[in-house]
Amino acid sequence: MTRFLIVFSLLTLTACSTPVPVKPKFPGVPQELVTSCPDLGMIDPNTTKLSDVVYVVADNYANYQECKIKVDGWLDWYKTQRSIYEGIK
Amino acid sequence: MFSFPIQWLIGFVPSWILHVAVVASVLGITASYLLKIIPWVRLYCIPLRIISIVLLLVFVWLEGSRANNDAWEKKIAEAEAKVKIAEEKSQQANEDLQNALKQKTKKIKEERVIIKEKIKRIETKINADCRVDPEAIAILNEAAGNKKGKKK
Repeated sequence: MTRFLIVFSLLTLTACSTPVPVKPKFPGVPQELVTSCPDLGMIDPNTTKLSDVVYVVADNYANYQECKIKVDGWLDWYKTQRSIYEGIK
Repeated sequence: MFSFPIQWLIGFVPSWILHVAVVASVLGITASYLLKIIPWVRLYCIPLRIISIVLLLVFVWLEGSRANNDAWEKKIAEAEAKVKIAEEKSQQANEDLQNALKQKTKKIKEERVIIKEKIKRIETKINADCRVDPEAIAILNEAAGNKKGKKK
């Protein structure tokens, strides 16, 4: 009986374990990154001028460059935010 | 099941009251042994000991519960502080990234204007020597059509 009381009293001293109820907010994203890349421009099918073709091609190259900046931005955002939030643990 | 309301109630009780209660219980147990030598008190020694032991168990449990609660509150405060710092860093990183993106995009837009001006300048020259076949334009448009990637 005495032994049971000793063990029982020790059990009452054990504490419950619960996870820490703190959750970080999902990190925000720069406004520039949340717009999708534009479709490639089309050349007027009735034209025969090379300059019209070059205009559209140059425009498409510029669109690509802007889109590349966005993709690189997403990669940069992901790497930075990951390193910041891994630092919490 | 009862742990949360007890911890919540214990939160209002000052720590020193729990310490005094534990010491009083120990003193009660000691007294129950010492007072046996006084004949007219001897009768109350056993009830005093039982009550003191029960109180000691209860108050030691409450002390443990209080200490456990305090430890968790400390951990929560530390975690909240870390999260706050991380959120500030994240916001700063986003602002830096946004500025960098704005600068790069601005540069591309400026270059786009310069390129168009260059084409305009030599427009007559390049059109003079070359006539583009409509089939070539059709192929280029087909290549740029984005048929597979289109959502609509």
